[in-house]
Amino acid sequence: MSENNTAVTKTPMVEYVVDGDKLYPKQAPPTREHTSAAAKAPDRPKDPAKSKSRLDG
Amino acid sequence: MRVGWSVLCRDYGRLDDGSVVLHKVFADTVLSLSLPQPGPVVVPLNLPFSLVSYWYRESDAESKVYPAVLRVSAPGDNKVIGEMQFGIDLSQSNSKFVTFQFRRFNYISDGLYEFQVEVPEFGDWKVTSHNSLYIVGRVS
Repeated sequence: MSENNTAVTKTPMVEYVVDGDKLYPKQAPPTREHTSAAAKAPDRPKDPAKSKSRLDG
Repeated sequence: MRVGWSVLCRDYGRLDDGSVVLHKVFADTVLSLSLPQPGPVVVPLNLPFSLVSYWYRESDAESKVYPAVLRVSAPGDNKVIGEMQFGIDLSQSNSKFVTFQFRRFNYISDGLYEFQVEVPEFGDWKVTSHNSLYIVGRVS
């Protein structure tokens, strides 16, 4: 029994690499630009209670 | 905009017919890391693992780029060890796969690590996908 599948529409895939607490696109080398802003999303509001326990690095 | 599914797995691939292949989906899995020193330490992963997620929009009104945050929390008191911003672009397509390949991991201690994606909803940030993985480290 064989099966041949054909994509009607192919859902795009966005790939990121996580390096510790840094994020950058998989296709691009890790640069300062990428690690400082993986996407141009607005800053997430800080939850003071959660921010207290954040570890950097 | 909704998440269809999200899984943690060892690796993934994409076929020409649009299928996504998931290799070794983690379920009740304990991931062992070889540590150069006791935690906290950032560990290079000889075998990376991935978070693979599928997002879709429910109407044309949701055709836009959604800001999102991937948050990784450590065991115990849920210390946030990674909070990374990215975008889910549904402006040009009805759906999107977003994958994160972890190549170096911020190990704190043995236990259950949480992987959450938050997106804004009605002015507030909401946890939209939630995965977890038990990780143990051994100094080698």
